[in-house]
Amino acid sequence: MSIMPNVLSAPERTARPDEFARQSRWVLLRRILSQPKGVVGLTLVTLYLLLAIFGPVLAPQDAFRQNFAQTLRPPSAAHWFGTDQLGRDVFSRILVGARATLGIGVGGVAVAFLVGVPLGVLAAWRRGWIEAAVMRAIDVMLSFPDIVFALAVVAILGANTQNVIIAVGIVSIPVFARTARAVTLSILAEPYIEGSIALGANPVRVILRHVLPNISGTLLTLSTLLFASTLLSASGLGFLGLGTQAPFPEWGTMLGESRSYIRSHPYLATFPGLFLAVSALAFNLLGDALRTIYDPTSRRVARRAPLLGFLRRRAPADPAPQTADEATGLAVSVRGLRIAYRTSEGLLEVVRGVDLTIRPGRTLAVVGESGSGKSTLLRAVGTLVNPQEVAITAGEISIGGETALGLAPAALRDLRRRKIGIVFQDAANALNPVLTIGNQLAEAVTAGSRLDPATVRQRCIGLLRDVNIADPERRLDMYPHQFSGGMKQRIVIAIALAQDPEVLLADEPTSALDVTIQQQILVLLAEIQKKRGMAILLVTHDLNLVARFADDVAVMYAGRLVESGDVATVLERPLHPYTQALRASAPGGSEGRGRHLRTIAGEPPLIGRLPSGCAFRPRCQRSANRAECAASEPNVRAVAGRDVACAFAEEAMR
Amino acid sequence: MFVLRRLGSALPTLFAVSLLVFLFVDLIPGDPAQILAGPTASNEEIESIRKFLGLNEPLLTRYGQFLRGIWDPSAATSFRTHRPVVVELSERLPNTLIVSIGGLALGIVVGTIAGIICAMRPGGLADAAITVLTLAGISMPIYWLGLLCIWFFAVNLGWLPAAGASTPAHFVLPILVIATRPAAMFSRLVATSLLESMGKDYLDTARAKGLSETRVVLFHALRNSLIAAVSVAGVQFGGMLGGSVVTETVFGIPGVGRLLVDAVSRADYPVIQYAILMFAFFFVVINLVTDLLTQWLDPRTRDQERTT
Repeated sequence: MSIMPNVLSAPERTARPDEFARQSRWVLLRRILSQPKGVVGLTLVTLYLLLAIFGPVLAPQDAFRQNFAQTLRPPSAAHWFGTDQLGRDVFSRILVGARATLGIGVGGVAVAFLVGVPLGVLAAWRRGWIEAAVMRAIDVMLSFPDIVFALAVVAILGANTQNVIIAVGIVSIPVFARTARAVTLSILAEPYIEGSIALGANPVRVILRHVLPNISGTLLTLSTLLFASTLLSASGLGFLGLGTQAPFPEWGTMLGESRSYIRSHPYLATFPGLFLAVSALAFNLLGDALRTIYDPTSRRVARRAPLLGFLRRRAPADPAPQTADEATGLAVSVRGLRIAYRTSEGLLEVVRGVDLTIRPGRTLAVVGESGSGKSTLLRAVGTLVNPQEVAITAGEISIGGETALGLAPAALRDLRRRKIGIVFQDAANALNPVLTIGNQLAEAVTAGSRLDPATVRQRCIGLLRDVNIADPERRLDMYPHQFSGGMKQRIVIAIALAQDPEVLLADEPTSALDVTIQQQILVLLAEIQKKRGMAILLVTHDLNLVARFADDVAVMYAGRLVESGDVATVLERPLHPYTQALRASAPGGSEGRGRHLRTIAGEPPLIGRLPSGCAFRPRCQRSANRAECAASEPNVRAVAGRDVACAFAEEAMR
Repeated sequence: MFVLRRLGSALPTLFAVSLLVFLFVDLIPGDPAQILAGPTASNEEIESIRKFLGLNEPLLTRYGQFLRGIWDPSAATSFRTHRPVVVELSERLPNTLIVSIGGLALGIVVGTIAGIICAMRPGGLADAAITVLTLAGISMPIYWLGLLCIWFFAVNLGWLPAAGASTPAHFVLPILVIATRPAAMFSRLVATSLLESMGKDYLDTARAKGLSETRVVLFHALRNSLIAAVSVAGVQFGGMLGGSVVTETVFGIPGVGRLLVDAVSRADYPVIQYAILMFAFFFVVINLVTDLLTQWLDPRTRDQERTT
C-alpha cells in the first residue's frame, strides 16, 4: 500500500545547491507553519508523539485487566470509549497502544531509511555493476505488491511486533533507495561537486558535506509520507492477526478483534480506527507541507485565482456601448485596452491603454523588447487570455466589427472559429503531439459545421496544398514529431486558415526557425494574405522583418504603444527615442552597413515598478532630467504622419 | 514487436521472483518441518513432513518440481487441506479478479473525473472539496473503511450483504472500498499533470479553432496528461492490488488474498509460495499493460521504438 505520489514522479528533479541545508531549523519550522496543512499536520503529529511517550502513564485504568462482568459496554463516564470483549477499558488500551502502533511505524521507516539510503547513494556514487545490481533488486522487490511482500516476510520470520517492523521496513527499502539514488545522481552532476571531485576531494567527505545535506529535505519529506503508509501497512498486518500478538494492544490488532462485533457493538471499531486514520492523515499533511517546501514543482497552488475573481470575471470590463459603427470595415479595432495579471499581490498591469486598428488586407507589426506586453496584447486580441490569470480591466476589442469582450462561451467560440486564426512562435508546442495532423486539421475544418468525411479530407488536403506541403494525402496520417520545424509552422498556418479568418495573429512566427525557412514562411504568409485579403497582426522583435513584410508598425514599450504609423514613415524617421534606439540596435538597417550596432542603454523596466512619468525616462537620452518627462506620462499625439507618445517628439525632426 | 521485447524484459524479473519465492522455505530460520510438526512431534513425523515438502531432494530438482506445480495439480498440494494448490488458487481467483480489477477500474474513472474537475477550476470549491477527500482517501485504513461500510450499509441500512461472495451485490462494498485509494491517487496525478499541460500552446491552437472548452480539455489536454499519469500510476498499481488482500478478509470473500492470509497464519508453505507467485505475476502483467498503454497513448515513443 505505498503512497508515494509525487516524490517518485520527479526523479529527475534538479537539485539546488545547499539552499535549504544552510537554513536553520527555525526557518523550516516557520515555513511549515506558514501553510494551513503544515500547522494542522505538525500539531497533530506532535500530539501523537506525546501520546506515544506519555500514553501508558496517562492511561486511567489497567489496559490488561479483564473484567467479565463488564464486557462490551458502550462508552460511559467510567469507560470513555467503552470496554472490549474481555471487559478491558478501550480508552486505556488506545493510550497504551499508541506506543506500539507509532513505534512500529518509526521502526519500519528507520529500517528502510538505514538500508535504503546508503544503498541508493552507493549506487549513484559507484555506478557500474553495483548500480545495475541495486536497480535490478529494486525492480524485483517492487514486483511484489507490498502488503504481499510484508506477509511473506512475516510468514518466514513469524508473527510478532519485531518482525512486523522488519517486514514493513523491508517493503519501503526500494522507495528510499530509488529516491536517494535519483537525487544523489542529480547532485553529483552539479558543476561545483564535479569540480571538487575532479580536484581529488575525498569521496566520503563529498558525500557527507554536499550530498547528504542536499538530499535531506527530500528524504525528510519521503520519510514523513512513508511513515503514514508504513503505519497503515503495519496496522493492516495487525488487523489480519499477524502483527502484535494479544494481549498487547495495538490499534490495528484492536480493530481486527472488533471485527467480530461490528454488527452488535460498532463503537468498538470506531476509536482505534479513528486514531489510526487521523495519525496517517497527520503525517500525510505534514509530508505534503514539507513537499511544498522542498519540491518547488509541486507548488501548483500558486496559480490560484483570487477568491472573488469570479465576480470580476463576470462583469466584463467597461460594458461600454458597442462602437460597431466606428469599427465597421476594420478587421481589428482595439480601444483603450488595459490588461493586468492576477498575482498574489493584486493586479499587475502589463498593457496600459492601447489603441490600434488594422484594415483588411493590411499587416500590422507590433515590436518591442520581451516583457513589453506585446504577446499578451496579441493573446487578448485572439480572445485567448486565461481569465483565471489575466484580467482585461478596461477598453474594448472588436474583430471584424464584432465585440470580442464579455461574450458568452458559445458566441466566443463562434467568433474564434469564423474570424480568428493564430500562429505561435514555436510550432512544436502549437501542435498536439499525440494527434495526427489530419486529425488536428479536420477539427479546425469541421468546427461549427457538419461535413461528410470525404469533404473534410479534401478540405484538409487543400489546406496543406495552400501552405505548399508536398504529398498532402500521405502527410495527413503523420504525427507532428515526424515533421521539421518549418513544416510544422506551415501546418499551424494551415490550421489557422481553415475557416478563412478575417485576422491572422502571428506571435513571433519565425523566431524558432533558421533563416532560410524564416524567409519561406513569411513569403507564404504574404502570398496567402494577398489571395485571401485578411488582416495580419504580427508580433516580433525583428525590425528587418517589419520593414520587409508589414504595412504598419506599432512600437510597444512597458505596456503602451509609444509610436505607431506607416512602416515607411516610422522606420525612415523614428521620432520616439525608444524607436530610434531600437532601429540603431537592429542589424542590417537601411543606413550604414559596417556601422557598430548600438545596444539600448539601461534595463527594460520591471512591470509593476515603472518610474513616474514617462516609462522610458530612465533610459532616455532626450529626457535629460526634464521636469515634463517626470511629471506625467506623455499622451499619444499625431506628429508628422504618425502617432507618437513623447513630449519632445518634434526634436527628432530637426 | 514492442510487446515481444517488453515481454522479454519482464522474463528475468519473473525468473528472479520465482527463485525468491522458491527459496522462501529455505529462508525460514530453523527446520520448517520441525516448525510445522510442532515441538512434541516424533522424528518419524518430522521426516514424513520433510518428504511431503520435498526437502530431502537436491535444490535443482526441487526448483523443477516447484515450477511444475504451476500447471501440474499433482506436483504441489496444500499442507493443510491436501488439495492441489493450483485448484485452491483457481477456485478463488475469479473473486479476487472481480474485486481488484473492479476496484481499480472504478477508482481510475472516479479519480480521473475528480482530477479534471480540480484542474479546470483550480482554487474553486470543488477543488478544495476534492483535495480534502483525496487526503482522507490516502490516509484511511481501508480495513476500517470496510468495517464502517459494513456497519452503515449492511447493518444499519440493510441495503447490501455484509460478507460472502455469492451474489453480485456482495461485491459492491468491497469494490467501493478498494476503489478509494486508486481514486485518491489518480485524482492527484491527473490534476497535477493536467495543470501542467494547461499552459501549452496547442490548447490555444485548439481554442482558436472554435472548439468548446470541454472538448479542448478532454480531447487535447487530458490525453497528454494521462500519458504522464499512467506511467507514474503503473508503479503504484501493485499497492492498489494489495488492497484486495485486506479487503477480502474484511468482507469474508473467498479470494486469493484471504487464502494467503490464512496460509500465513497456518504456515501452509506451499500455498503461500504459489499465492505470492501469482500476485507477483499479476503485478508484472499490470506493469506490462501500463507500458503498452503509454505506448498507445503517445505516438512519439511508438516511433522511438521503431527506430531503435
